[in-house]
Amino acid sequence: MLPAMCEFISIMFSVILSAIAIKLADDYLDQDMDKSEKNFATALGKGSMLYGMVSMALAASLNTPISISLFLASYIIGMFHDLKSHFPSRLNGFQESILIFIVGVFLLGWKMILFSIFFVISIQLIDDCIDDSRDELIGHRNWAHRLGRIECFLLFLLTLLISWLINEEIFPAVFLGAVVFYSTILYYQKGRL
Amino acid sequence: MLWTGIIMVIALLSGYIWGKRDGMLSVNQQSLVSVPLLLRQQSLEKGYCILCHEPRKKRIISKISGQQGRRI
Repeated sequence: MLPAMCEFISIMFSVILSAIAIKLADDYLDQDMDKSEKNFATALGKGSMLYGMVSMALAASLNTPISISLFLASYIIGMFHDLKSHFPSRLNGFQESILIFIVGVFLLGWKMILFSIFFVISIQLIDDCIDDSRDELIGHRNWAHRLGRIECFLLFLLTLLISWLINEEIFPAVFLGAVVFYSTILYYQKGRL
Repeated sequence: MLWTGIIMVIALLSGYIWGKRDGMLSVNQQSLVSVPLLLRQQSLEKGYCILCHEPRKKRIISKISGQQGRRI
């Protein structure tokens, strides 16, 4: 019972730390568009990227496959908005996504990568549902605008259930970690993710 | 259990999208028919027809015929 509990808690904290790293990286990239104090990169200054890396290292030391796969999945999902843009690697967003997906499958296995991709898509969709009205005002790209709010919410449910189906063993811990992280962020930013 | 949930959500999603699309199409068709009638009704209440410019046309025709009559 105790090892199972320890594994559950280690997965949960690994997810929370990965989420912190992803959030810091995302805020760092969005710094130009979002100058408010609710942007962590603005609040932390130049150190935000370093804190992100430390957080990712801690997450990887707790549970390597889950933290790395969640980070890679976030990278892939983040590219969905820039599929045709060219990056310093001289590849466009679509090519980079495919490359990261192949590397992820090779290193962590298809089950873990697919689980993470569906899980991160579901988080992105619910985030867009919550952010719908704010993003409409500031002109952010948002799936709730493109698809509709109800469709976005139903797709969130669908992708969450698919991720649960792909990896039933780790889903509860990962889900709880994500809920804890997002509730904290939501409380901190008072309704703005 | 999970499969049931997934199938239910897929059914809900496809039903919602289908219903929304169907609703939009029927509203479009209805508005194509009803908007000109509504416009005409509202403009006639104000004394002219927005589609055929009926009183203005009559006024112009009478003006033209009046001028021609004077010339003759």
